[in-house]
Amino acid sequence: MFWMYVFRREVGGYPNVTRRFLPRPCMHCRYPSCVEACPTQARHKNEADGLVLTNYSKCVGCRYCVVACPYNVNYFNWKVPKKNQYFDWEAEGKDLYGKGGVTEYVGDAIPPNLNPDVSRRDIPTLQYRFVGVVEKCTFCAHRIWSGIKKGLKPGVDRDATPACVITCPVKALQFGDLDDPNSNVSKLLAKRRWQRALEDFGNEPSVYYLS
Amino acid sequence: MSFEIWGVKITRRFVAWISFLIILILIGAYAYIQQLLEGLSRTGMQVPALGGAPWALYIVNDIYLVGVSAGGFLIAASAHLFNVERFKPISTLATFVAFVTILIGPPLFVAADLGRPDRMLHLAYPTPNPRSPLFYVLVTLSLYIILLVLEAWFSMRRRLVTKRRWLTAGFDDLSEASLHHDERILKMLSFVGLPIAVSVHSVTGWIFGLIKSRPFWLSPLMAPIFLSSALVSGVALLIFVCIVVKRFAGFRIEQDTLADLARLLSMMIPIDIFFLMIEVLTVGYAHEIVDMKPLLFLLVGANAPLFWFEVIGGALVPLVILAFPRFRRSDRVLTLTSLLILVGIWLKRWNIIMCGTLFSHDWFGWAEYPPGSYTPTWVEWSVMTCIYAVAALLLTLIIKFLPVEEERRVIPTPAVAEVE
Repeated sequence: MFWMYVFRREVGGYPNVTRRFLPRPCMHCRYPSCVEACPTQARHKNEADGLVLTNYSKCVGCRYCVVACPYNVNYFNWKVPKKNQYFDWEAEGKDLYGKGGVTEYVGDAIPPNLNPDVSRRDIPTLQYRFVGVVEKCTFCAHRIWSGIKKGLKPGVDRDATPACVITCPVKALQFGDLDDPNSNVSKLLAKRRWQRALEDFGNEPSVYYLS
Repeated sequence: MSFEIWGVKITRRFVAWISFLIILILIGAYAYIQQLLEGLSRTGMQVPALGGAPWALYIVNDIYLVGVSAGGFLIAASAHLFNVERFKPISTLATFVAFVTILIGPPLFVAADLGRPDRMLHLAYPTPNPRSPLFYVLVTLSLYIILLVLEAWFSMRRRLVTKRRWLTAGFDDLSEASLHHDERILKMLSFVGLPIAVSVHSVTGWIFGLIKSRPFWLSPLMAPIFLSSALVSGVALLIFVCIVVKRFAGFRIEQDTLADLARLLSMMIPIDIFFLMIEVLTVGYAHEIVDMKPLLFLLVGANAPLFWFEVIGGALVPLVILAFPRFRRSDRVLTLTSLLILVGIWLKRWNIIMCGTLFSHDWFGWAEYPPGSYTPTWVEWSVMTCIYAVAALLLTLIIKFLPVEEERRVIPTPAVAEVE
């Protein structure tokens, strides 16, 4: 899955060269261009929490959202979503450590192209991914929703927080409720300088980049 | 080898042509089945974040075929609405050219382009999105197709009575009053149809012109450009079809009619060039950062040969050729010219799509997506050929088996002729 894209940039000249990384999840805009463009209302904005989500059973795969999104967060399933749709897990890393591909290390575990939270490798119907539809980052809606059901608070409790936030080893990502003035993210935004990407489009993205 | 079907003589040439089209259709069907089985990965498309074009050859042909149907309708409508006698003999043919291109082109190319063609009806039911430009494409296209069917039927009814009586559905009154009634209905249909036709092409332009995320597309000129180049390519196609049916189906089409069509063409090409010039000048003079990449790609970059062929070969050279009355009356020159124009407008569609889909906004110095590139695969080319073959097949069968040709009218010979 490439739902979160990471820009890589080299900055400076020799000898002061550094590499900068910039993650780009879906922006979950307040006024999403993709929702306006989608002809079937498959792409919709969830009223309760403001997440911009896709109904895979309505999507026709016209890729208008891919074209309309200024941030290019949409990914189309060009083939049956399996390991090598965008990235060849079999070949990648082969002979890197004198061994086979990634699968040799991963073994029978859930492969990286499937969501470990909703997919079971042995039950194909539980692999919620389809050919010919558009997917994108959901802010791990399934984790947030199941966490809230258990009474957990997104952004505070691990089980109600997007996977990228809890796995980031340097804690570069923070998640929380922007409407709540006492949430961790609201406090961070009050304290730190921030900017949002491509603000002049007026989409009001929900992803803030702290500087 | 010649036999008759439904009272129409089938020649060897006709059988050869039909078989040729069917072979093309079969090849395309094979390619399309591969694409269905494996997904759109058989095409050269890719998402823009990974440096590709999410909309490509299929959409180019889709909007191209929407465009070429404009000419046929324009000619038929002007014949009925403004009583242009010159165009009356070809009005049924023109309506059918418009009808076939719009009936075959957009639906089939969209079906080829969709990731889930089995859900194609979701565009209309159960949850269409009235905020999406695609919704209005659907609405206007459906109205347009219905209108063209009605127009074709009414303009042909008189001949259906004698030749294909079952198609008249009982309305086989050939009295003077009834024919006059037909004329009035045709006039009304053309009157209602002109705004619908204009909106079909405008809405097609707005699919792109309203999208703010692609720097080159966001332009109020998109609708007029689509309209003008639709008319140019449409009339060019009509000229081409007229010459072909004259040569191979024995239609009687007067040289004056073709010359008039050519004159019409030479009036519309400058408008088309004018709009293109405004677009390029505005973008180029303002030289905003986001616009410059697609513009340079178009003018001097990888797409430059196609762009300059579009401008010189597809517009300026035909314009010069059509300026000579001698050439306007030569079938050979007209065939060549209309083909040049058709290729030129096709390239124009290609350029518009490529300048949009391949270029996304970079994040103003923060970050940038990889540069885009796109090459169609053989699957795309075959499916495209297949759909054009289907359109050609349908048009051929219509021209062969329906009384499309206007019966010869008994025109009183003018006195001048007798003096000669």
